[in-house]
Amino acid sequence: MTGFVTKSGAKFILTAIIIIFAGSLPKLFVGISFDFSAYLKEIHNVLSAMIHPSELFFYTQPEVTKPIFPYLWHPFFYSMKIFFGSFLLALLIGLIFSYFTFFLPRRLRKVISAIVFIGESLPDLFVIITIQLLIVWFYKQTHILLANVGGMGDHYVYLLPIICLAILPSFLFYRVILLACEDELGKDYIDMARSKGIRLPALLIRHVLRNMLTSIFFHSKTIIWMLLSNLLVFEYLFNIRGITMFMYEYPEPLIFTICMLMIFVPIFLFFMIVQLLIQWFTGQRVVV
Amino acid sequence: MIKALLKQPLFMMGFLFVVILIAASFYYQFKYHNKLPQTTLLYDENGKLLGAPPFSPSEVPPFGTDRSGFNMGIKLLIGAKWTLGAAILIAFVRMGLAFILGLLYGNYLFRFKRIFTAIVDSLTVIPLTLFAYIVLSSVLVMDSFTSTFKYPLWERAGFEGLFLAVAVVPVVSVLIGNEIGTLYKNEYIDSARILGGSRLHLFCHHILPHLLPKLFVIFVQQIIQVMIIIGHLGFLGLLFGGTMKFQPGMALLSSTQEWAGLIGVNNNIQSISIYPWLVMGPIIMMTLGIIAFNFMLVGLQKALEANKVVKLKRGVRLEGTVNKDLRALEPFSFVTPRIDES
Repeated sequence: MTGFVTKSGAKFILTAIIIIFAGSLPKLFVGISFDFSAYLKEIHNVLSAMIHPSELFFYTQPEVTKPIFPYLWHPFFYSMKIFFGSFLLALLIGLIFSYFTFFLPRRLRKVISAIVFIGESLPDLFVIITIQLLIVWFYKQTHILLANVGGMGDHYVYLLPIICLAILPSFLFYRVILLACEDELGKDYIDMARSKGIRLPALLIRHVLRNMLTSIFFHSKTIIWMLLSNLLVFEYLFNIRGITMFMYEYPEPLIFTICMLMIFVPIFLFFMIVQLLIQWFTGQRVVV
Repeated sequence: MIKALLKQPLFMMGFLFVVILIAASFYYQFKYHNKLPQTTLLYDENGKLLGAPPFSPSEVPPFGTDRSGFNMGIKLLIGAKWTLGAAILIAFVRMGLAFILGLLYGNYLFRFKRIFTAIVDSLTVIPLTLFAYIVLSSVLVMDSFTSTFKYPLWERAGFEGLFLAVAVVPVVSVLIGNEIGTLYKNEYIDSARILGGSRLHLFCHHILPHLLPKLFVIFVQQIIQVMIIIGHLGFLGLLFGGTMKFQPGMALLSSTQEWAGLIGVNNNIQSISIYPWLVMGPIIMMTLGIIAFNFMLVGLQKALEANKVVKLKRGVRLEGTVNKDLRALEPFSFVTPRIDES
């Protein structure tokens, strides 16, 4: 347990340092030439801003400044809700669909895997713009505006962004889970369990799901960072006043670094909790 | 290797799509000097006026025209060499730099694998789209008050390309280095070393042949990634080669007709609700491009697997009957039951 804490603590500090160093990099470029002293100064600025967060300001208009901190909490929590909501939704969709895939005939499974391959290769941009066109088309047909595309407003919608953001990762999750499942089903203990008369549903839920948790976890790391990139584009599309939109509207290295650190903390905590849960689960399995 | 690739229909489909588009794009440039055909007004055979631009794809096939009546299909053709060419070039520069660094790391610094992997793991946290946006916006966007760029087109495109290439080099070089490092752990490397092979010999004769196909796979993956990033930046209004902005808050113009740029230019509510083909054309081409590279990737991986099996079979020189037996075997099946020591 102490090993776990020191290890993840070291990882946390390393990542925070790298975010600070990389986040200040834009100051290194002045146009297309370099300015190294400005870079060092920016790192110093970020560090001092972390100690005194109340002194952070952003420009709402050329002359008017506003303190970041009470303002930023709202977009931050809003973005995080959408982010984790769609992550969990994608995971759920992946799990349910891959579960039912195992009860389909073999020929149909081939068709599905071809569809998934195409779906996975679709760039997120295509999905986004198709959604945008669909919303407009739907509005023209029924005069119901599903989302405020292109307009400005301070309303907070949850359902549609979460669903749309979850489309691409659920393809990825589906494929990852299916591969892990097939991998697991080839193992010896499955034959043993089957020979004892355990049916496929019980086998999948009770044994395979638990054993492939680690594999899903490792893949979910890359998926979550991909999701973060997509979050910006979706917030831009839906005109959500979220944290990545804030970073986009005020493209300052200082704001970028602070926001990245803020986003990183909950994701890191999430990974830690999941890791502990998996250790607990697999630990139990070993005992049994 | 090339023969095996030619046999993969998926690879050939993707490859031909990309090559033909780029070739046609260059052909159009040299033969017609990128002349854009313009349809200002359209009449039917009786001389009756049909409409004014923008024309829909049904009026001016295949992609319609933009607001000034310029043919979207030709615009996309001109842009093909920019988008596809830039993606390939950036990925190539990225691979070249990453290969050199990966070589150093895999050969000499592989002891510190854990540190390097941890650093690169933390680097992937930063969303590249946003980061690139912050760095590039000062260079690429036209000053809206003076309507001039700070830098000429080639410097802008060069800076953007170089930045997109270099920003991911650490990640890719650690990827390549880890490949090299794990290859060194194979048993045949030990044998070759015992037989007196020098470092250079080991690398050229025992590492490189296994590494090259993997490098090719990573290369195609990087092309896809670059295309996605360029697309994102275009969507956010940062067009490859520079965003022309003549008035603050007014429509943007691309300097190169590049696909992501055409998406960004037309990504406003008016275009989408009334003239959806303006944004649909470029996004379809972009998607087809990415799917083509994905096809290449899958074909490549299949060809590599097929190649391995063929080589195994060729290497086996046994009596006729036994040989037949071996051919019947699956590539990975146990010949004799293995006894574990545990």
